[in-house]
Amino acid sequence: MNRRDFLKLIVSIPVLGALALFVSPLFRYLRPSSGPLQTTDWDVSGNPTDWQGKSGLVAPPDMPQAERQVTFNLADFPSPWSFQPFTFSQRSKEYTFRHFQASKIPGFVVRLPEDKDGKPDFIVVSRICPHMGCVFNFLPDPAEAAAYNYPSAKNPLFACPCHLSVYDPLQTQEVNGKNIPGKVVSGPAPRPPRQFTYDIKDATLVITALEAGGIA
Amino acid sequence: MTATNSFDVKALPAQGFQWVKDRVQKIDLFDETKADLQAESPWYQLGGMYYLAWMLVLFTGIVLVALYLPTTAQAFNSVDLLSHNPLGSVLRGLHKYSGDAMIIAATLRVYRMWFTAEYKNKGELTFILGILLLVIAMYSGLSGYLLIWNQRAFWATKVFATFPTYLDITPANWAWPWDFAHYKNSWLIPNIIGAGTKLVGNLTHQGFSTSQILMGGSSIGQATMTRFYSLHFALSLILLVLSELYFYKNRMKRINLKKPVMFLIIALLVFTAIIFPAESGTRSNPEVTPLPILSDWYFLALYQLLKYMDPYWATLWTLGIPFVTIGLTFLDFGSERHWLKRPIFATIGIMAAMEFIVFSLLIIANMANIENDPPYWFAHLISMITIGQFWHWTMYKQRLPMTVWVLFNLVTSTWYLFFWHLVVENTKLNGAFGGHSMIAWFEATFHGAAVSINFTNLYWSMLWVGFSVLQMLVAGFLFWMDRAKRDEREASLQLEGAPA
Repeated sequence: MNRRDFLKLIVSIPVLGALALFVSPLFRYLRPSSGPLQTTDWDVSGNPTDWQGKSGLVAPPDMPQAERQVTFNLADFPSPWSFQPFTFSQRSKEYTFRHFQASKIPGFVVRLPEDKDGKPDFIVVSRICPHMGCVFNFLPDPAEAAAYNYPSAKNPLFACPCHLSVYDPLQTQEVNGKNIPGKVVSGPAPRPPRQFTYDIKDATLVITALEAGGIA
Repeated sequence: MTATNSFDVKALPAQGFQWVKDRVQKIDLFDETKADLQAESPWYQLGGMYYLAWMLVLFTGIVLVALYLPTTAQAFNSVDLLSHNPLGSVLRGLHKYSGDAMIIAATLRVYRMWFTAEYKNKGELTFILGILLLVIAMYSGLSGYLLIWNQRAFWATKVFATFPTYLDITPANWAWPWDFAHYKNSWLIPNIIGAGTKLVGNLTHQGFSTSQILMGGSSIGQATMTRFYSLHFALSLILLVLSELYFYKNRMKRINLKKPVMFLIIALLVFTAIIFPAESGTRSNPEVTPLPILSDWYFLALYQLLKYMDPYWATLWTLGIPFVTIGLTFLDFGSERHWLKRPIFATIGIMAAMEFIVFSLLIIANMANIENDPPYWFAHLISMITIGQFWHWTMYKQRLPMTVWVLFNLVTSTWYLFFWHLVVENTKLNGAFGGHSMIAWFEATFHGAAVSINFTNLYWSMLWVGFSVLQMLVAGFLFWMDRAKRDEREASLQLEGAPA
């Protein structure tokens, strides 16, 4: 490299930097948030108020926020495998002049056959498939799972029509060091469905928040 | 050109520039430089057909813009109302079927270029542009059918917006490549590639960012529709400006089709639009996914791939196929252009076409055995390349590549025999190469991972070894058959070659 080429190179760096400065607002316009929605390293599962401020984490500005809680009466689940669908509303960022969009997350509450501590036990999951975002179904009759390429089903299951992922509410799978119910027993899904946090107070079941990540 | 034998670092930039310049001079966007060939063969009219269909799409699109309401509340109704108007229905149908015609023409054109090796002799850039025309037509179609805002549109877009997120999410059972204690049945290569995407992903969050830029938020809504609307325009308009600049500069005729042919194509599209009016489907409902749910026909094969593979690999494959196709053309050495004289590339082309068609049919029939099918497809892939390899060998009688190939097959299939069933059983990711099987075996031995032998996979492994032994026998037989001619060739080489 001769002196002239070297000088050209030196000069080109600030020129390219200035160009990048011009281009970056365009990308900010396309995606104005300053942080990621979620990465697998962050343990932001559960209610955002539980983890905000802890271990230096703040809510990324486009993290969806719960709009209102969903409640059920325990009498709605009289027997094992009784289930109820519900819709959970979230406010999520939308890059239009409206700024916010109310996205509706469909979910399922399913009563498990085994009671825990004398109280009924539940699995409360988002119906949005963690594979590619379709809405999956609950199959109360295990024989229905044959249509989802899983003929060996023994108990009711969740199954997705798009790419035939099947989840078993009775088994758990490890995700980021936590055991989550709804193990993937068939199909390409990488993890169990996203879980809702819920409380049981007296005779009501209150669904409070959705595990972060994923696309609604 | 200067002397090419000597390697000169200083001349490299100039040579590189000349290399690019040669290819730019031979650019052919819509077969406009092949006017003389078009009389002989309809295959060379595909570029013109693409351009003609594109113009139809543009003109019908201009009218449709005036009638369409790009909001989530009104879009479906505006399209549905349009479909109930006789003229509107034909307009919409013409727009849709012309778009489909573009994709068909671009696909066939890529196949023509592949089988006639048009990428040779400075045609690389033309081939890349041919692939690009196909990809752009497909993405125009994808951004277009969201605008109808029906169920198919919504769920296909959901999948399209979700799959890039896997660029951030490292594969299942991932661990740092040096973190052997935490491997948990995963393999080395996913861990290395995963480390790359993880390091880049921590800086840029490329997957979620892509997804958010596409959707304009964290869910499909008004912002998504507006963005896709603008993208749908941009893909055509920017290209129109560029191609017009190209035609203006080079004084080329845009469409070299004869008038009756043009009339026939337009009439065919209009009749299709009248006889099969474009469907509206049902309004999108974010809470119900119909079973089965399909994308438009040109994405069906990729959709089946998503069923078969781990989503991380399916994403990499989906994004990688155009690059692999382009990369392969650079491995097609020699000046031979006829497809029957390039057997490996012929069989790869046939294999790709077969898998595209069969995958599409399988997903339409909603058939996929996720646990057992992928090894069959992997076998199909390998055996087609092997057939090409044998064909090549019988034609060119090159001893070394054949030996290397057969030995490679024998080694990997022996590995499969001993270890593959462990991998398949433990990871569900089929088609692992031998090295990964070794890792899984070490893992099973030293870290006590659960191992169970599945006899289906054992039989598969034995089949692989049998296949390799068969290859050895056939190769040996062919070589033995050729012995007389080989001696002749060697004698002639000794006459020609100067002894060292």
